[in-house]
Amino acid sequence: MALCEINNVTKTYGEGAAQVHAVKDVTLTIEAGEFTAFVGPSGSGKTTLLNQVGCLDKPTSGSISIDGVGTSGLGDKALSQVRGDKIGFIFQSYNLIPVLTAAENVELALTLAKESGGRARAVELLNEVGLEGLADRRPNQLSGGQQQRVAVARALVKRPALVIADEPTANLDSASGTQILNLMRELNAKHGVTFLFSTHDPMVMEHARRIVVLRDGEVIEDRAGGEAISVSNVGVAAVKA
Amino acid sequence: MNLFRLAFLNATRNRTRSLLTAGIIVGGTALFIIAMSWLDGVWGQILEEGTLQGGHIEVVTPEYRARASLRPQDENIDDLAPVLDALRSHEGVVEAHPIIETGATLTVGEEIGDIFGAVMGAEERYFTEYMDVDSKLVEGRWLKEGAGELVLGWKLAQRTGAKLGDEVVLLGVTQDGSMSPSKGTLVGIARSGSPLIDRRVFVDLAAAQWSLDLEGGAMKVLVWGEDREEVDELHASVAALPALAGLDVGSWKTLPPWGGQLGMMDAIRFVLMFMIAFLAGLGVWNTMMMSVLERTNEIGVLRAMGMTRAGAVFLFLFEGVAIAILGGIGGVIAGVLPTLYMSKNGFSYPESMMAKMEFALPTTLYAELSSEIVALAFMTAIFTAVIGTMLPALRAATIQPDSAMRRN
Repeated sequence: MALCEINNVTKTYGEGAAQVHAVKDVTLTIEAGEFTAFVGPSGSGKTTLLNQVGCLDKPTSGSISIDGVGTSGLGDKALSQVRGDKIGFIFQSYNLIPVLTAAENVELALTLAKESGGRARAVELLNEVGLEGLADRRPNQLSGGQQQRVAVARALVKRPALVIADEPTANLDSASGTQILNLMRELNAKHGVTFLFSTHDPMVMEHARRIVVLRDGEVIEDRAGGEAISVSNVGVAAVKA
Repeated sequence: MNLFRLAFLNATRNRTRSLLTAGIIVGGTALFIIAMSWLDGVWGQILEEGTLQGGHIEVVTPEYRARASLRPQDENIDDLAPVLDALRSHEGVVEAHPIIETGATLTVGEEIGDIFGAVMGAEERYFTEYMDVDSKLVEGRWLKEGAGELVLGWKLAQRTGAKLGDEVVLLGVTQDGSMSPSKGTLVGIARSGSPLIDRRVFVDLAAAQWSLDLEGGAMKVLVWGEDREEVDELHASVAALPALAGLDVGSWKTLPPWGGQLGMMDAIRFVLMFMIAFLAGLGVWNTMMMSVLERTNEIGVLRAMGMTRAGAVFLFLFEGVAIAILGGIGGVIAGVLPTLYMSKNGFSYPESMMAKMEFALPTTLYAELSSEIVALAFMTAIFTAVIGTMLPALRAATIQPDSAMRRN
């Protein structure tokens, strides 16, 4: 079942001679339960495309639907509701709220989505991502890997249909990065949550079941991934460029 | 977890800056309470003294009113009795007293004097209960009505060299302009620091009427009600009295010197309130704008997580209000304590400072603290914070959720 349909999406910035096409006429379908990576070098349009899919920005043209909801014509309030109800986010820099504890950071996602469950559900999620006993710690009392686990718990606590992760391991060492990816895959398998993430790290690509390669805003390759896929197969030359 | 807690925690995030902002609000609120209490206290005392001596309502002839600043000698209420009867029996009138004010040269001894004095004639009760001159006597006693006695203000006594028991000749004019010499025995000297008393000659009403050739008449009748602030209703009913037909009836709220100043005092209050609120608002605006600019990425994250624009506005508004509540409470304490002290102990100033005043003020002035001022100060602090926070909060609301994706 298609969870996310991206139809002829284009995103341009600026006007006239200064106009930049960040995403050009991209059409993709993301099935429920996928573990998909957008890969490509810096400036290839990965993050811009994630922004469109995650309802963080509106495409210049084209349409996107998430879980059956067309987002193109929605206003700010409705888009906020779609984000709150259907999408979880994991950011490169974790982006936890520094004045809140780990549990409160997770609970905040429920508050904003106007969902019940509160602290108990937050602690349950924190335990599931391997942060037993750390619920009352502030972000500055946690390592980078632990902070990203909190971010994963925050993204998942409201049971979203789609989790969007922007370079989720870029700020982590390789061991922590691998742990986070394994965790994401576990959660993907266990809860059936669809993960869509961007990366230019070959190690991360190895974990993806589907790889969409972007260059200059266009999809140049879309293929099944998985551990058998070698880095060179997904256009590593382009990635490293 | 609720957004109130998040907003409160955000307010404590940069403690130095938040404390500085709260400090500005403390200062503004305290200054507001102190300034308004002094303003109300001093102004209240001025009005109290002024309307005590000048009456709540003044009855004169229309011709006198037209030239009131010149105190014309020839525009008088000739038949006082029916006017006084009507006023003194009218419901709501506490007292009514006829007044005569004229000028004369003063002579003590053989030499013709060249000292000018303002002569005031009234009933004893007006002098003792409303002007309170008898308590200002520094020598002698108060005059007995009909005994040909007079009391001099201290300055006049000093300039004429008059002593108790001296015969003082007053050379004035009658209402038709004829010369009008009269004589009285000096029985008391009064001193207050105000020219209202120190440069005056006090005689009984009959003596002043004789001097002005105005038997049974007066220049004006002063009327007092229960409460000067509630004078409007009394003014309307007094003006409608048949016995006062053809006379001009004015209330203290519209007559000089208070009429024009009431609006001015309101303007001073407003300007004061505006300036303090503006400065405090600027402080809050600065802090909150810095917060918004520093937290652009974080606001983007919250927006990405589903926070609406209204939610972002609320978050920052509550943060600003939380700081304002702390500052407002501190300001109330910092403002009320010294004001309470000054409302009990007052501020004394030298008598010489009153020399140019047109009314006799006490030489100790008191602040007047009221719950209205405290409430107004606190509400102004909150209102100021809301206004000061609104712009940064609206700016926060314009931050797009994709800001969350930007790299730090």
